[in-house]
Amino acid sequence: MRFFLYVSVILLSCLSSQNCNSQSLTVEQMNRVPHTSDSTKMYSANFTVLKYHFTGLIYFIKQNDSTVRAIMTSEMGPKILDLNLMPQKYNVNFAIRQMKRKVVLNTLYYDLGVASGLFTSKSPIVESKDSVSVARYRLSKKKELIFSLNTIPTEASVAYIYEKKKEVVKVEFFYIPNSNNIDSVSISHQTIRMNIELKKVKL
Amino acid sequence: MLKHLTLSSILILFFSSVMAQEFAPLKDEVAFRKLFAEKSQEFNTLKSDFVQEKSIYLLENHIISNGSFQYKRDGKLRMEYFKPYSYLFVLNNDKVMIKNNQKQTNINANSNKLFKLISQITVDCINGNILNSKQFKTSILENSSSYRITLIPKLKELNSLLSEIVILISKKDYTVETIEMKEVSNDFTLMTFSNKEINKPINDEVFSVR
Repeated sequence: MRFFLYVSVILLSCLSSQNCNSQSLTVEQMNRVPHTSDSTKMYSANFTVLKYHFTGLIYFIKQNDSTVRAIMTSEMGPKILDLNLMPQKYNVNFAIRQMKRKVVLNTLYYDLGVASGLFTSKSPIVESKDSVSVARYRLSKKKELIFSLNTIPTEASVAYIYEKKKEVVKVEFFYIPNSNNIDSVSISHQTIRMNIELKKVKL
Repeated sequence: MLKHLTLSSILILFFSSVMAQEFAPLKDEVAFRKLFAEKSQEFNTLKSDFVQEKSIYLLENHIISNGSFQYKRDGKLRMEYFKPYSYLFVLNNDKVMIKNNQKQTNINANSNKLFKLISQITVDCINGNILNSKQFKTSILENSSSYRITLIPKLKELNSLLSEIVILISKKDYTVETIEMKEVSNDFTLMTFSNKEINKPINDEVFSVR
């Protein structure tokens, strides 16, 4: 909690003033940021989308350097969601009726893009202060992902999606103890009733 | 000569075993429906293990999971997945409890058509109502060991989720052997049930939703 408060202070100071030194992330910090990989990632998922609740399995499949396929199925069978995620856009291959709304799909695009590592596979603008580095990734004209990373290993890292400089989404990454491998991801929205919790499943 | 005879015998054996597995239309569908309904009424409880095979065409390997299955008349179902992820689904009439990632969620099955559909199909397969469902177009085939029931969804909402559901019913004890859910994209989920225990007592607590 203290760490998150500390990070928030640094984030605010970096956002309001440009006093932070431009640097790059250390290898250790880089490893703690999600990246797309050739191997499929599978997560057990809990989605709250407006008044609906879904559970299932979500697969992130890298199709090429710029496209990640995000497929969610229910545990017992049918597909719930199937999106092609790209850096600037997405395609809907399939979405069940409850998710087939522009506001929901747009939100899912950014959430799943962050969780899959699509948006953080490019080089960020890095600002460091003391033991915390802030990595900034431009998602769109209005949206920015700001990732804060401690120089020493921690149990979790936090990132925020800012829209017009206003914090709208909090993304927490929890790591497998004593490693940089992501174990679970928690995404909570401030402006829409949507929450996503992902827990890694070993394939 | 001996070589030819051996080859012919092998071929005859091979083709006769293939023929035995082939499904053909039922000789008397009305009689089967009556018998299936009667046999299903005899099931008060059913307990089994299951293996689930999920195929997604983009994935090289199928996802194999396993778990346990418990059913109790009327409308009580508990499905628990153990590997490679833990997931618990309990249906008690209209109430559904889901537990995954250490998180428990209680929902009303009527508020989520997907949950309702899947759980209803599973329960209806056991209690015999599946053949009376108005949501599907049904066709029934048989071979020497099983009945093969194919369900094609009639409703638009179901059509978009599933192209067909194929259920194999054992001729030996009229229990479900497999349920295969096929999607429009050709992805499928196949559940195979084993170690079945019929009418052994199951405590109501197993289906508790709170």
